[in-house]
Amino acid sequence: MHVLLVEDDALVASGIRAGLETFDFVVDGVATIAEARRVMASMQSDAVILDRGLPDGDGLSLVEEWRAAGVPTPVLILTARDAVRDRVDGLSGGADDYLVKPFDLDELVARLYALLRRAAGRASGVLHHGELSLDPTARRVCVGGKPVALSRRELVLLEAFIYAPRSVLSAGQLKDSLYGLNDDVESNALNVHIHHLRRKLGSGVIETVRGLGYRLGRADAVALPDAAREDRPRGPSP
Amino acid sequence: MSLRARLLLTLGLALALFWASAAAWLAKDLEDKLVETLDQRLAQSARMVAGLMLQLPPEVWQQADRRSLSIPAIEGLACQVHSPKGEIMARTHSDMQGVLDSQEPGHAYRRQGDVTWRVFTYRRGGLTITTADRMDERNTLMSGVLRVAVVPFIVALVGSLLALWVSVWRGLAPLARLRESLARRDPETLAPVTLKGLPAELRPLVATLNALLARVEEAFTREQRFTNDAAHELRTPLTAIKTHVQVAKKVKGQAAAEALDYAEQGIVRLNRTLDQLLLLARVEGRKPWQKESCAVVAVAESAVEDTGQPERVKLPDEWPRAQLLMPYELAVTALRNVLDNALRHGPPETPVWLDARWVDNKAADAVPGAPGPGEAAELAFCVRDEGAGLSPHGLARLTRRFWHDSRAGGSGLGLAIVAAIAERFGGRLAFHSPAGGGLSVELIVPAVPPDRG
Repeated sequence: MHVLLVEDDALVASGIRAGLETFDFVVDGVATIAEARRVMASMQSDAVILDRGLPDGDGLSLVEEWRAAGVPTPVLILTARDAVRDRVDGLSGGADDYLVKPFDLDELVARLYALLRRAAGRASGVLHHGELSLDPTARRVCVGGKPVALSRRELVLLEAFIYAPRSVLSAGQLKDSLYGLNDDVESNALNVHIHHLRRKLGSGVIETVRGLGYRLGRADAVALPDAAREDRPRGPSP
Repeated sequence: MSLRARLLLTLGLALALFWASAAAWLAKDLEDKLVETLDQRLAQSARMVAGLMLQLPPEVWQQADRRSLSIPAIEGLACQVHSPKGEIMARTHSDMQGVLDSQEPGHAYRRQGDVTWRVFTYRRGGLTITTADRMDERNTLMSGVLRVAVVPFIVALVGSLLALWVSVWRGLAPLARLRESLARRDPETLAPVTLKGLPAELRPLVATLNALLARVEEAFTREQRFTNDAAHELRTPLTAIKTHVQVAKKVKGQAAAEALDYAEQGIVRLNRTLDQLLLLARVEGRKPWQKESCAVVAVAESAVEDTGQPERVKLPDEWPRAQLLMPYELAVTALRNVLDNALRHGPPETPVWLDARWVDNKAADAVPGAPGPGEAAELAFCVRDEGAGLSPHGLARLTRRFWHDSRAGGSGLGLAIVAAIAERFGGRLAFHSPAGGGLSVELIVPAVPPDRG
């Protein structure tokens, strides 16, 4: 999941970034409204974390601007002001959630996932697709109740598909989910990750839509190939 | 006791007292006059009878000798005439011997049975004439006269008391309305009390009250904004500390050490903001400072040392010989805050220029020089950086609390504290941002030349 972090305080921003990265989020950080506007126009973020007191204005004006332009990306407002009116202003201005500083990192992550889930129209915290289940906060994928070991990028990629189960995702969108603005991406990296996912979860788990991109396969296509079964972590030998 | 009750009681008592004494005085006067008039009438009738009797020829007396002359009786009035020999010559009542018997001349009261009489005895030409009035007749007349005289007084008294009550009630109605409107107010609101319909006497009072309310509201708003800003400034480093500590718990090795480093930076910043806030509260508090002074050189050297980057501060060749009229610690804090600000906003490694000079208050004297001994004057510390400078808009906001460039760091309190310290000791802050860039801050404080010897 790709998160755009708009926070002007460098120390706070580095903390949030490091915290979200432990949950496999891809974070791009900017410090001003102008930069946020530019990044938002150039790449696809799954969610925005927005500080209100920015050097070039109130972050809330940015949300209003996006909502007026029809940008649906969920926005979580961060603020050090906890007056009820500030909160009401934030939510009625188009923000989806509101968190008062100082907050708990786990709470921030839980709220982000709740926002993503709502945006994807899902009710449950653990995402299911056939036999496959993905717990976003625990960072765990299971097939038929048995855990499957995935790398960080593979998990993020699978997450992107599961959050948009009926959509065709272009290579560009998938790369935005996987990498930040400053990450160096090798041209075939996406193909490699998709190949690994198919090898671990069954070849039908991700379908290629020629000329457009990829989409999540049918629910009954999920299967644990024999190879993966052997890779599966074993319990202690009796 | 309420104002209304006090007014009603004092005015009512005074009115009743004055009207009652006037009435009593009148009644006493009337009674005296009436008694005098009736007595005169009694005497007059006696004299009239005497005159009539004496005009009769003496033969009539002889003929009438031993035969009392009978005069038809009048109700309430009696008369009797005695001859020089003491015989009754004529009388109105035959049954009033006790009352009408010859007596000393003049007025007297006499009683017969249940009835009291007023008697007048008169002697003339040997005749003794006694006339008498019934006192109850007199009393009836007297009370009738008194009633006619006193009733208007009572009516007037009751009328004035009523008028008094109505006018006090109506006159104090604006006060009552004011009291009610104050009592109805929400104790939390500081909105002004309306002046509409208030009499001229109450307007200044309510206007003063409104001015006070406005000042309280202003102070309240300022405090609230300050609290909000302070909360913001304290929560931001706290957020940094908390997130970095939580990250440190989740990761291992180098990343954890890095996160803890960041957390420590946050703690340093939080600590500095707290120190500054406490200092500001102390400077702004009402605690009186003793009359203290300190040397310019000592203040400048300590402040430069305290910045932690003394090598970047360029000093003048010579310091003015002056004593600042403020406590040493506060002078150092103020100057250090100005230097910190310049060091933070100037590009790294660039110098910051510090100078001190006498401020020339006498415009005629073109060359600023040291004032005479003991002469009150001002000394300016001038701090100039090589940063980007500020727009006029930014200059105006420099001493505003918590206004700061987030990337340069700082609590946003530094210059606000300097301004508070300077103002407390009669000094001020001045800013210039020349077109070529850089910001020059002048901290101007009262100072005197050192004592000779």
